[in-house]
Amino acid sequence: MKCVLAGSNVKAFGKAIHALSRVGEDLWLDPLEKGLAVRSVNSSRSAYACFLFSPLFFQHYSKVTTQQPLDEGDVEPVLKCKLTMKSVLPIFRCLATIERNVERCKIFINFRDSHVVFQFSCRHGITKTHNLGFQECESLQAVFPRDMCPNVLKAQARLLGDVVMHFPVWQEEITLAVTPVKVSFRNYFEEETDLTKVMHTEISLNPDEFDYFQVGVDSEITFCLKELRGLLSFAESTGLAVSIHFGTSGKPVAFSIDDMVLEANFVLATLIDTESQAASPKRPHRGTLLQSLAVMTQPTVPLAGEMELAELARTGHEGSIAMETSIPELPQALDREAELVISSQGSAIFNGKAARESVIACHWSEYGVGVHMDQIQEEAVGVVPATIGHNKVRTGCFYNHGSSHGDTIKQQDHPYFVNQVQLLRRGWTKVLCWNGVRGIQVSRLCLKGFSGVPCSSTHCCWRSPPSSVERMPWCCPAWCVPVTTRRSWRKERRSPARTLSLS
Amino acid sequence: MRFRAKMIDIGCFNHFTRVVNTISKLTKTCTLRLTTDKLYFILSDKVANGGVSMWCELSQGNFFDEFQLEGVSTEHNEIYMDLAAENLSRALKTAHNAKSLKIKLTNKHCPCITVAVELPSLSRVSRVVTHDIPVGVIPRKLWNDFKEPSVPDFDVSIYLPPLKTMKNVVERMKNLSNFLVLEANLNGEMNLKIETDLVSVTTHFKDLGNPSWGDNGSQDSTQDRDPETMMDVKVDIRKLLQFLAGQQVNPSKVICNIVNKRIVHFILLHEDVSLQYFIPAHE
Repeated sequence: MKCVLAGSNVKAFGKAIHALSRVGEDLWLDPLEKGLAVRSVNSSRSAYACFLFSPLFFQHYSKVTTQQPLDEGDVEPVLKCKLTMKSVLPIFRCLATIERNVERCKIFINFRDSHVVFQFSCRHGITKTHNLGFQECESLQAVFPRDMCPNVLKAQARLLGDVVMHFPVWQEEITLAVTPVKVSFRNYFEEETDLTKVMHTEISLNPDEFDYFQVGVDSEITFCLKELRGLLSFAESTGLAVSIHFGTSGKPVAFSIDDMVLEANFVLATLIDTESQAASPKRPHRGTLLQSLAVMTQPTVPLAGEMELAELARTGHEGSIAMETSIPELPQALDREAELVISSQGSAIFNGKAARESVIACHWSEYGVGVHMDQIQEEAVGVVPATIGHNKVRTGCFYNHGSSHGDTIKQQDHPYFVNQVQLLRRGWTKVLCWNGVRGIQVSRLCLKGFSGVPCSSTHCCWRSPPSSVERMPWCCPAWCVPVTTRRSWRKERRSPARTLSLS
Repeated sequence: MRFRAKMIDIGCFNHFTRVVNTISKLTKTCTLRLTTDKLYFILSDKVANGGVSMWCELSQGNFFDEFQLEGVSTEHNEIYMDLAAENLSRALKTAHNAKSLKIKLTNKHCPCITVAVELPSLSRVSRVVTHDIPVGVIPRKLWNDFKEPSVPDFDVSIYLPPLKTMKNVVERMKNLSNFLVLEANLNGEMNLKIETDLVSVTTHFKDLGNPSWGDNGSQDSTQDRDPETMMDVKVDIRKLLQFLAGQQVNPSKVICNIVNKRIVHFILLHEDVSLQYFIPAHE
């Protein structure tokens, strides 16, 4: 593995290391196709943290270190290595100094000498090289189908920072309680604590304060605040929003940050609520991630014996993979025969074809528009898996293939990566795309456009979104839809905006 | 027993917070006495405190917009309770931009002072932070332990130099010795002295000014005394430092009364708050 970080990204990387250091004592480095995954897990296996930096975060990124052809029969091992936090953290300890002095940081794995090398090119021609010994290890991954969680909250990091500010630094655990009308955080004490001596703090928030609020089931989960603080301070410093996916008590909670160039996931186990236990009242104990996840994992996934977390070697298969949608009414379009590749980000495993079918089915049932399935598939240009690349799970790839919209669409073969697909009311979809260079572009598509059917509606595609919309953040599976270029979008904006009524 | 109070002015929050922070730096637990027109933070001079005692008085009208109190009985319309000042300080810490602050006496799992802070939020509904601070209600029969201390029959009364300067000096001295002698005279001069086997250090302050106490009895007895005579008291340096370092309220003047070799008494006056602190001489 070899990568080069430049400028302010070195500081962001350092901040991520700081956040991971709050979780565990070891750091796992896992170079993947889709980027560099840096992970940590705590000793009791009740907290898992992962940062995935996409290749765009780096000036240069390659999964393999050597480009030379190997000897016959040899496969260059894709090296996963484990470093101690004690050795890595001091390198990134003083972020202010790094910001001031370091121009570039090169990280590569020298597997001959069993070292991970961090090389800082600093101002005044100074180069600092740190050689850290590593241990080879198996991949560390947490299996957590985030999209199956009934409760999803998304908030700006500032909001969460304001909440945890009310709890003292030494507060170990807090309880998050949600109902459809209220969200509250309160501190949690073990049973042995003398309740007459400690101060109880509770903060309640209105659901309006969240960027996204979905409560499928009322629940109260208790998790460790200390481990989370690392992620919250990372989010605050980078200004990104944090999503929280969780279910009932006992099931893990996932805190994630998604950005174009990086993703972070912190999965924490929650305390099992003893009151709901039937016979023997047990002391509340923290369910391990394994226990909590046992229910959720696919039957075809072998759980490796004694291991607390399912540690699976990546197979790198690009074939069709199973996905489950979070829409309960839909039939599960799972492709059971497929090789299950667990995303290291903990997001749902994925079947492009089934997803497309099920999503479209959803649209149809919700909006009452009928389009024949075959027609859709005929019109839509097949997705070429090889082009999906590192954005496979989270994003998809758009090609425009000639559109009837009548606008100039340049760069016919230029892929646009989909960042987010938002379903608006009345059959409209907002698609946020990014072409790898120029930043976010927005397309609004009607249902037909969404499915790849040529659309003659003048509203389609070009309206800048109105201010209040109903949002449903989605992982966008890969399919093809026509998309406008930035220029055409800008052109359209100049004409007086006709607001779309969404009532 | 009932108690409810509400504060809505930001200036009041800050002021109240500073007072409570000062109290929390001086002592871990103290007694809160509530009457219909005042609040008192009291630390009585038990052996456990090392003989140090404190009396802080605030006029509730200067802080609270609403204040309702029903004491233990009609003739004794007051409530005394034990409270960890640090908890109250922590509860108030995040109230600096609050819309309102409500304090009430509640009975959750045990008697508590509940501080409910209403904070501005991004939505139309404010955020509410509730802190339940456990307290111990003190029964009527023990109320005599918490009487207001009388101003002692002092020998010298003098204004202190700026607290910050004095704190810096005492901080340095703390590293050298455990005890400090504080002496002053009626001529506006004060010395802080430490003495060890190896070294003795004295810091001299002058032109401090002496407050006149009107027709206070003790004033007469000092008429005959030579204004140059120094009256001193030897105190534990850490206690003195605790007093000096904890000050967050910027008092206009601090008066220091010394009873020769017995006790030193500090009085801070700041607008509507008065704080008295006694440090006995070390035996």
